Amino acid sequence: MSIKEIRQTFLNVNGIVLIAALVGLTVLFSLTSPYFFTPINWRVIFESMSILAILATGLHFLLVAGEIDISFASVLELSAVTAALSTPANTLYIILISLLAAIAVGAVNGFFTVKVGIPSFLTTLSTMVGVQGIVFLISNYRAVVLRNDLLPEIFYGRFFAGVASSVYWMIGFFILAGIILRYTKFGRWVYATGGNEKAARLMGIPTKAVKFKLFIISAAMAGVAGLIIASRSLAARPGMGENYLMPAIAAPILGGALLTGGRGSIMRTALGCLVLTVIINGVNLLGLEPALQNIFMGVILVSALSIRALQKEDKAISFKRILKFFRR
Amino acid sequence: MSLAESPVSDVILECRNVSKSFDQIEALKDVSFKLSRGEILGLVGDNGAGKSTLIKILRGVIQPTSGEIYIEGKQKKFNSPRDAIREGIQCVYQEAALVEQLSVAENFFIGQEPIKRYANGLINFVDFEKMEKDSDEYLARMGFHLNVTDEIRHFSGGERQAVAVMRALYFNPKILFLDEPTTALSEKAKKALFDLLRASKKLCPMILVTHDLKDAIELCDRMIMLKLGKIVFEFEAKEGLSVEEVLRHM
Repeated sequence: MSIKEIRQTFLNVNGIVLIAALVGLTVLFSLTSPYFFTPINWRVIFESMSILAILATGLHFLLVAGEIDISFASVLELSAVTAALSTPANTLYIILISLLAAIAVGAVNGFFTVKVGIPSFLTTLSTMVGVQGIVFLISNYRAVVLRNDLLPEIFYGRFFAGVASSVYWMIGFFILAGIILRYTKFGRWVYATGGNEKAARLMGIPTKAVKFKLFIISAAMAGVAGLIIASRSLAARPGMGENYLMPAIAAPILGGALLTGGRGSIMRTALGCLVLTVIINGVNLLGLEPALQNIFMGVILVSALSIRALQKEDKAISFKRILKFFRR
Repeated sequence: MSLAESPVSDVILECRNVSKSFDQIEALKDVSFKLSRGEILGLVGDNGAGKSTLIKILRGVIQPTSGEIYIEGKQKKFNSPRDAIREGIQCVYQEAALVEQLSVAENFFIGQEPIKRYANGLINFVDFEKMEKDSDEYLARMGFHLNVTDEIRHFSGGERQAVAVMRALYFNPKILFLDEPTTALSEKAKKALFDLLRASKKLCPMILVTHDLKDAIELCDRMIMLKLGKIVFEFEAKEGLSVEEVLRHM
């Protein structure tokens, strides 16, 4: 990554807001809790962040292409419950069957959005509800114990530096997503499809195929997140993905992704995930009302979006304009 | 010999009885013409004449209801713009078909990005260096010195159209379609574009779709006039018809 690219990624309105929020929250929580700024807590933060980050990475691809997937929380649960129900069995079989279940939902999302033409929000809203029902049925409304020793080692084992392997999975997926989006033809086609789908199609980009693959990617990532969450809890239950719905959508948006597509940086999405996880962690450490997590997240999201809206296109962040706005 | 037939035998594109209906509306009726190497064919007519429909068919955006298309004597069927691009057909659109959020270089190569291979072709990355160098050089040839790493939204209509034209020519097309390419151009940019097209027509024949008869007469070797989906008038530039004389047939 060149200096110019780093500058473009972080020194714009979205990057600055996220860095400011991260620094501000870190200072605030460090001053109010002696346990916040400790190595153990930062390990906990990164471990908690990993599931959110993997979900947000899958969603990031779709947002850049101008689509959305809100079924990922249900897909996460489907993958986790499928894994738990498949045990005891061969570990590779468990992984494959869970990922295939997730990918099948992605294929359904892709088919109805791309081929039938239903807006992705409505398609994935439907599959979210439908898959939730399937999860309730196959789990019999109860938690299912994961009876496999290797699976938790693969997805949440502490075999290196005492940090859960989910953190390495997260870092791996961030790097992979960054490389795909920035350096491959497919990645550039994702941006072109989101930026101007008609132009992209006229210039020979198979936009429908691109979108279909992105629904598969998003679902597969939710599938991996499901395996991680099942490995962490050593069990799977309906509803375990609900808490990720809002943060996983908010993180890429905080990072500058537009719901209309064409924009988004995986590095800033990662930063968005970190900010949101710090909020959750800080509120928990201080023993505050859990509802405050949502209030903090809402405030940060609306602040970031307001500053972005205030920002005139093509100009560096103008603090004078922001001050002027508040003086009015 | 009908004027719709090319005077030169080296035919590169032939449309035979191409028709297109949308529900009850016949947008094109039995349109037949040929395009030969080294010529610029004008496709003129009012709004709703069927020009855009014909170009969309030839670009694979829509499919004809009936009729055949031949490229270098071989019958072709285009199911998508990608099929047409594979056959060497490039197009410059009225709206330029650019993606605002991408750089000039990326727009130049959109959909046809050059690849750098690593690990015996196992890893393929977009060759940004080549994209930037080639787009910079090609644009400079037309007199546009743009920072090709800047997003295209920062540039004027003329500059954007230059990017669209130059990218089409860059890929050595067999046939180039120009759909109202002068709409966003100043007189100076238009002259530069016409000079470039005249110089390039030996390399690839072109079809110019335009409302502007003056432009068509100035640039084209032959012209076909469409009205309500039918060819109603055909003439050659050497006949020296004025705009008024041509307008009588519209």
